[in-house]
Amino acid sequence: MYFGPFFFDTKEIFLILLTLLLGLALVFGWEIWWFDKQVLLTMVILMLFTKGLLPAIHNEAFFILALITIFLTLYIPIFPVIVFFFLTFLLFRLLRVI
Amino acid sequence: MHKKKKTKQYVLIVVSIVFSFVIMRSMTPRLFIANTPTLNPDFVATLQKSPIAVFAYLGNIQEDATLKDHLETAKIPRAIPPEGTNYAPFAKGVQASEGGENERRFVKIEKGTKLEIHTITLSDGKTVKIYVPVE
Repeated sequence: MYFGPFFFDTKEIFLILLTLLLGLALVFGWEIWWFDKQVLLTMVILMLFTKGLLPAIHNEAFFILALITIFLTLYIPIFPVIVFFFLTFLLFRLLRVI
Repeated sequence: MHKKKKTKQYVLIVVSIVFSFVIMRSMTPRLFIANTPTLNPDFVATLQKSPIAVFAYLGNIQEDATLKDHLETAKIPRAIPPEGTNYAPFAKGVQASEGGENERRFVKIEKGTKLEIHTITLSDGKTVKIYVPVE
């Protein structure tokens, strides 16, 4: 889908919608069971940032990493999860997964 | 051929994720304090010694309880006492600055001193932590 000169694929649009939804949940105090809204918002912003660095061909690896990272936020504090996310991203690059 | 490439891709994804998870779980507590981006002063001190010391430091896996004690100790507030402060010992490994009743007191705890941590609530409802030296 084109927005002016920019092209967005469906996953990117969903990720942006998710960020908006999380922002609204924070503003209006909507409850999200088990998940910490601020942690989720931080992770989604980092994911948007890293997604911006990737071409659409690597969506699958990114999708698996994103799912595991979000799941880990349930059990592990935010800082080690961020370390895990960037470390895996770096390894993906070094091992030419992406 | 295409299937083989796809399988290799999945294997690499799993290897990257598992390796990162293991590194994150084992290294993060040694490099940073209490799950914050603050660098562990012990690691910084080791870093200044030599690269071999860094590997030795990272390779030495401590017991969970010891690591917990270390993290608790790191939370003790630190202060810079004025120069020329005199200390008098009052427990094994613990010294307190000498001074008048209304003067600020500083407590010096030697490295390796074991402390018990108690949290108590005062009559005004304030919660404080008390560090009791273990003999």
